[in-house]
Amino acid sequence: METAIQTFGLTKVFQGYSETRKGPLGWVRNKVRPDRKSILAVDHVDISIERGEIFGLLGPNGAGKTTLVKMLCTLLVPTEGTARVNGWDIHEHPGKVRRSVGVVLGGERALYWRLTGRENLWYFSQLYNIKTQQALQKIQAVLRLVELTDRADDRVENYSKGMKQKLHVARALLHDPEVLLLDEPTIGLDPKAAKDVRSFVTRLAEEERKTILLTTHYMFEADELSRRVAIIDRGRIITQGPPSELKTSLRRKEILKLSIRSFNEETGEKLASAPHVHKVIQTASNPSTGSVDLKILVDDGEEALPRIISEIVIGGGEILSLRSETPSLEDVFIELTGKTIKEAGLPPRAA
Amino acid sequence: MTSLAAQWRTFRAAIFKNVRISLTYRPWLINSLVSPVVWIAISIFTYVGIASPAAIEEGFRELTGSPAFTGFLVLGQTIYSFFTAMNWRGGMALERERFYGTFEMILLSPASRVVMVLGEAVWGIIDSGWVIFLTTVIASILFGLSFNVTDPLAVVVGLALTFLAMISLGLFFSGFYVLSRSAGPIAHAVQSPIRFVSGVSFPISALPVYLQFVSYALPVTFGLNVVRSSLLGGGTTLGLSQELIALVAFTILFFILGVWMIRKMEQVAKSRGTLHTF
Repeated sequence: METAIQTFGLTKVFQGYSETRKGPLGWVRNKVRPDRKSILAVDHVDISIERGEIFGLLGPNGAGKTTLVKMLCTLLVPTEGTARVNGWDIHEHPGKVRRSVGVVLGGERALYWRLTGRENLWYFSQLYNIKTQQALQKIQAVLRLVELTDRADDRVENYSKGMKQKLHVARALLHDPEVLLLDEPTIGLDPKAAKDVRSFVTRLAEEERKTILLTTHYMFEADELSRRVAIIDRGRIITQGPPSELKTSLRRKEILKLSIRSFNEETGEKLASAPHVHKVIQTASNPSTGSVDLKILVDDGEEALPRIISEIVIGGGEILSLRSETPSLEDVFIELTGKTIKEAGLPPRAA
Repeated sequence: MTSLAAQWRTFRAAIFKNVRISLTYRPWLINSLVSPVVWIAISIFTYVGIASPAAIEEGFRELTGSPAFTGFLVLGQTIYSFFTAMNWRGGMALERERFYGTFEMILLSPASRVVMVLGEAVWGIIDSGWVIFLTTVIASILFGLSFNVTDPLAVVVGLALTFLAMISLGLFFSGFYVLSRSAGPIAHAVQSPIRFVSGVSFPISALPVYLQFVSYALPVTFGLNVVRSSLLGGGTTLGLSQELIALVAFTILFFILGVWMIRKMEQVAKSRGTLHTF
């Protein structure tokens, strides 16, 4: 298979101000504007995406997903390493890279709210040097694809979040790029709008043969859409492969989900060191009922369960519910990082 | 993307976008019409409040060679209005994209950033031009204004070169404002000092000599001199050649600085990751 995107040790460090400000003027500027610490946002990332595949980049907020996407589309200059997009090196041919990618950075902004959807698309079509007649046809086609034809002549300020997101995608498709970089395309959308977006992302890959790099922090979304997934945490790719294979790597393990009242830290420590127990993660707590939810990764459920129950009961806890689950991508994340994806949305690492 | 057709599409798109957006902010027209007339009135009444018109005319004749103080003030405000239009239209062009959240998107496109800003600046001249023209007509009727034109070519060339110098200045400001990351405050801050030293409301010969050096470092000063001389003092193209050459020099200088500034801005923003913040 031909490679559409390949990165080679791609790294981004956002420099602290004090490191770039020198001399007396720098000293004054450091006093006027407080320092920003250097942040290692992306750490030697190596990924390879085949032409025509949907590749999911999965990770919590602040993991480095957006930074990686911005480096791939040349909006950010890497500190180290490089990447080839559609055969073009991002350092040597940034213009050619930009012409061959369509980018959706999402959010509600990045559109002219006082213009209509159609006017927004016309404006960007001209920036991409598309001839008028061609542009009008292409605008009609992309509006149809994202199902916005009926509202194309309304001002964007009257669009819902979902409609704006569809317009972002329509804009990204205007110049018919071979590669699409979709950064959190369903974030903040209601379930119906998110489902619509997921559905035409699939259509774009299947019918239009686009290569799609999709970033998300929704496990099920990456699982549902992607042929392959890379999990990123604190700037590092911690694993990659087809979702089924990643989950299979946990097949010999089981996930026990428990809800416990009057659970204490000491019991948690005992559970973590119990035989056959691989990891204990607290996934939720409910202060009003005094209960917590636990995910316990075990090698052998039958062997592990009696000891787990006895430790909880001895520790004064009361088991409210208990069930066994097959591993999901969330469990792969937990296995590799020791935390849930929500917990992992922590401040980034200092460089 | 270097073809002329591509540049034209970018230029036309920048104007189209601004026309459409401007039409949704029609109430601004009231301020655009009223504010310059009021400023002219303030200037005129400041003079006539302390001296008789004859004394003022005599004073102006001594300082400028022409007694037409009303015309001096009306045209001063007119050219200054073009400067403010350039400051806020061309100068703020890229910063506005940052505010809209579209900055990254336009930088993702292969379109020339310089052409984009030039499109915004030219639209600024067109959009503010007819308002400023109308203001000048209103002020002329209200305060009485008589022209003394002996060389129409000097008027046309003088106005054209003044606009070009302003557009170049707008291009320079656009890169500088984004790089400074404090566009709004700086755009506000430069206005009053430039109004003061460029001689909008009084002849710059009234300024201390050291400030006159600052005056002659600004294209607005030369634009004011050329337009006033050609429209009120019967100035000719030949007689104004030094000022016209200075305007050409300013146009070239600020264009080069503007292109450099925009490139530098993009380079720095892409390195620091500050393209999306405003």
